[in-house]
Amino acid sequence: MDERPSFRQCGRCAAPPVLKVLSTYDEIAVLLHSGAGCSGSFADFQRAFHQGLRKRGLPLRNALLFSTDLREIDLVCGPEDKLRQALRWIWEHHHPRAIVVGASCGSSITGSDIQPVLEEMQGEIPIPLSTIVCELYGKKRWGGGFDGERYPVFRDMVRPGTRQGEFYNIIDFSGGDDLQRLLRRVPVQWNWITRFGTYASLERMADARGTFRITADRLSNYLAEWLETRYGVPDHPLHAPCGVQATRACLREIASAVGQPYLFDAVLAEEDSRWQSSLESLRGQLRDVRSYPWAMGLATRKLALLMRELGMAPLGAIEEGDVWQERPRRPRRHGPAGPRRPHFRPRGPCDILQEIQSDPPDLVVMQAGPPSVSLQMPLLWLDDEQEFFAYDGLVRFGQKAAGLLSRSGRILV
Amino acid sequence: MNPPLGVIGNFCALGAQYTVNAIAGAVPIVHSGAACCLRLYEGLSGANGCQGQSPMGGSATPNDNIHRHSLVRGSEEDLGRLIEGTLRAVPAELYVVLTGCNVEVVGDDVESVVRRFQAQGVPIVAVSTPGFKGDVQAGHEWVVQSILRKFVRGPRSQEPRLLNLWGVVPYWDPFWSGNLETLIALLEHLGFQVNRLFGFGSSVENWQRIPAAGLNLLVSPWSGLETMELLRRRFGTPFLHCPVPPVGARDTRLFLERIAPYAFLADKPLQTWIHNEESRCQYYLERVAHLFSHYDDSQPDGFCVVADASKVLSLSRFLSGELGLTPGPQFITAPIPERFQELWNQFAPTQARHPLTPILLRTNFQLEQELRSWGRRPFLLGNSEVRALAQQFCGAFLGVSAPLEDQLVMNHSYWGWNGGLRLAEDLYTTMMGGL
Repeated sequence: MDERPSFRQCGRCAAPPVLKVLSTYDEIAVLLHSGAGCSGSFADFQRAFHQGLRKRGLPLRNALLFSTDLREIDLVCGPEDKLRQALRWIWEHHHPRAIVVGASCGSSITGSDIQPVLEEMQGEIPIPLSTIVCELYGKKRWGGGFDGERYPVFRDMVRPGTRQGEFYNIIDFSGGDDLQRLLRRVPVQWNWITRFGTYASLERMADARGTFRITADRLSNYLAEWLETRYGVPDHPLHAPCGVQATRACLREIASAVGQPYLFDAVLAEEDSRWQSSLESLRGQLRDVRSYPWAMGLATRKLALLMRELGMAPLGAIEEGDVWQERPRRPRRHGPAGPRRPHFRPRGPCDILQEIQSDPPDLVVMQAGPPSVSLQMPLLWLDDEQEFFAYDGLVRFGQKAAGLLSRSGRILV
Repeated sequence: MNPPLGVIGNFCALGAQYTVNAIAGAVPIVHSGAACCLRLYEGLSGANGCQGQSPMGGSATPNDNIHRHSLVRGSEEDLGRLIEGTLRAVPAELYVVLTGCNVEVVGDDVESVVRRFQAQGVPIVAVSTPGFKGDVQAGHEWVVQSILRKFVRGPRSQEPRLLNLWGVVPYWDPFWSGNLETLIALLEHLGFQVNRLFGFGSSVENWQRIPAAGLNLLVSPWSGLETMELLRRRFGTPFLHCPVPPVGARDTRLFLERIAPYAFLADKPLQTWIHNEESRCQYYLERVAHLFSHYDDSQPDGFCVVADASKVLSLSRFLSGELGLTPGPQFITAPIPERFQELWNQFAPTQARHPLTPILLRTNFQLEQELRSWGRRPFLLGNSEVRALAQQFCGAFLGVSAPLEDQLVMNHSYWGWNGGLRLAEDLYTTMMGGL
C-alpha cells in the first residue's frame, strides 16, 4: 500500500458540466438526486443560464433545476420514494418535455439504482426520463460521473424518421457562436446542438446526414458517437477551430464531408482579408510574449494554439515539439477493467503555481477553475462558456491579452 | 406531496469549510468525494456575491477526492496521506478536517486519523459535516464547537473589555464582511475590544483568546445558542443574546441599549451618541419620506422578503416599522424551530394585528403560486433566482441572500444606522430600475 504523503486539491466530477449544458435547453428539467449541498453548483448553472439569456437578448427566466434533498433518514430507508415524488411533482407543476436525473455521492453510495425507478415512472409520466449516473460507485468502472454508454441520456428524446430535408448536426457546446456565424454563410441546413438549443433540435438529430463535432467535451463526444452507433449518423470529429490554420482545416473537413470541397473558399477569403491587418498588428504586439496556459486537458492545447498563432511563446505544461492540431478523441471504449488513467488531473494548483513562480511568465491564461491565488502578474481568467473559435475568436483573444499586457506595462500598444 | 428542493441557498453542512476559510491562518482539509468543494464554492462564494476565494478555498482546497477504490478498502489512509501532504505544502496554524457524505456513510474513523497527528503536536481538529445531516448553518456551528472543544485552551487571564462576536455565518451570508465591520464599529464605540474571529483582522491566535473574553455576544435569532451554552460551560463566560440583527435606527437603538449594561460607555454619552446618529438618519429619511409614501401605481404594492429567518426578521422590521412599507407575504427558506416560535412572535412585525407568519419555501414554483394568490405587485428581496419572478409579476427585486449570482459584494452592509439608509437607497433605486 502506498503510504507516501499525497497533496491533492479539489477535483471535479464530470456530471455537473453535462447537467449545466442540458439545463440551458428549453423544456428540459434537471433533477439532482442528492443532498442539498450537491446542488450548490445550481447557483453557477443559473448564473450561466441568466448570462446566456442576456447575451442572446432573451427574456429572463430560471432554468428548471431541482434537488431531491436527501437527508439521513432517506439514506437509511432508501431514497427511491423521494425520487418518485420529485419526478411526479416536476411533471405536474412544470410539464417539461424531458427530465434528466443526475446522481451524486449521496444517492449512489446507497446503491440506489435510478434507472429502474425511471422505467417504473415512465408509465405515469409520458415524457422522456433519463439519467446521468454516478460512476464513482459503479462496479468495475472508473469514471467521473457520466456514463453515457450504459445509460443513453438521449435515447427517448430523439424521434427518428421525421426527416425534413437534408441537414447536418453541429455539436458546439462552447457557448460562443464564432464558428456558427461562418457556417451560416453557406447554403447547407444545419441542426444546432448547442447551449440554449431547442428541444426540437434534439428530437431530429438522428435523421441528420452527419454530425460535426466542434467541441470535444465528454457530452459532445458521447452524443456524436451514440448517434453513429445507434442511428448510423456518420460522426466527423473536427480540428478545434482555434486560430486561423485550424479554422481553415476545420471548415475544409466539413466541406469535404458534405461533398462540396469548395464550399467555404469564398467565406475564408473574405475572412482572411477582413482580419489580416488586425492579426498583423496583434502579432506585432504579442511577439514572444511568454504566456502560460493553465487549463484542463484539451483546453490547454487550444489556448496554446491561439498563443502560437499570435506569435506568443506558450510555456509550462506544454511540451516542445507537440503537434498543435488536436482532434477530439473518440470516447474510450474500455473493457470491464476500465480505462487505465483516472480522470483527475495529476497536477494541482499548488504544483502549477510553483512552476509559474519559479519562472514567471508575462501572462497567465486560466480556464481551470477559479484563480486560487493572487498571482501578482497579468491574469486572464476565462469561464467555461468561452471559446475563442475562428477568426473573430482569435482576434478577441489577442486583443484581450494585449489589453492586459499593456495595462501592466509589459508591452506597448 | 412534498416538492423537490429548488435553488434556495441552504447548501449543506460541508459548506462550513468556508467558516474555516474565513479564519486567517486556518486551512480546511476536506475528506470527501470529488467536486464537493467546487460545488460548494460555486454556491457559497463564486455565485454568491462573487466573494472570490481565500488562498485555500475553491479549487485549491486540500481534498482527497475519495473514489470507489478507496471506499472499498477504507479511506482513512488516503486522509492520513492528504494530511501529511497538506502539512508539508501549506503551512498553517490550524487545520480543520471536514467530512462529506460518502466517507460518513461508509463510517470512516476520521477522529482516529486526526488523533495520530494531534499526538505529534499538529494543531488539527476533525468535524463531522455530512451533507445529509444538516445545512450550512448547522455545519458552521459544528465547526465552531469542534474548534472550541478540541483546540481552544482555557482558561486564560481575563480581559474584561474583550468581547467575542458571534452569529454571522461567513460566506453563506454574502454581506457577512460588511455586517461584521458594522457591528465591530458599534461595539468599539461602546468601549469593547472586539475579538475578530472571522474575516479581516481574524487570526488563530484570536481564537485562543476566546476564553479570556468578558462577554460573548450572539446576534442571531437562534442559530448559535448551543455554542453560547458551550462557551458558558467550558470557559465560564456569560453571553448576551440579541435575536434581531440591527437594521436602521430603531433596531440599532434596541441593540445598543441591550448591550449598554455590559458596556464601558456611560449612559449619558451613549444616549447622546445614539441621539446624534438618529438625528442624522432622520435628516436623510425625512428628505425622502415622500418617495415612500407617494402613491404611484407603477410601483410595487408591498415587499416580500425571501431569505433565512434572521434576514426576514431584521429586514421586514425595518421596511415596515421605519420605512412604512406595506408587508406582503414573507418567505423563509428553513423552518422556525418550534421552541423558538415564541421568540419569533415577540420580535416579528405585526400584520393585521398578528405577528407576521412567514411561509416556508422549498421552490420558486411555490413562491410563484403564493404571489399569484396575493395578487399584487411585489418588491422581492431575496436571492438571484427570484429576480425572474419579480419581472414576471411586474415588481422589483433587490438581492439580499444566497445565492447572489449577479452582484459583487465586498463590505456592503444593511446593518446599523448607515445600513438602513443604504437599504432605503437601494430599494428606491431598484424600484426605479436603477440597479
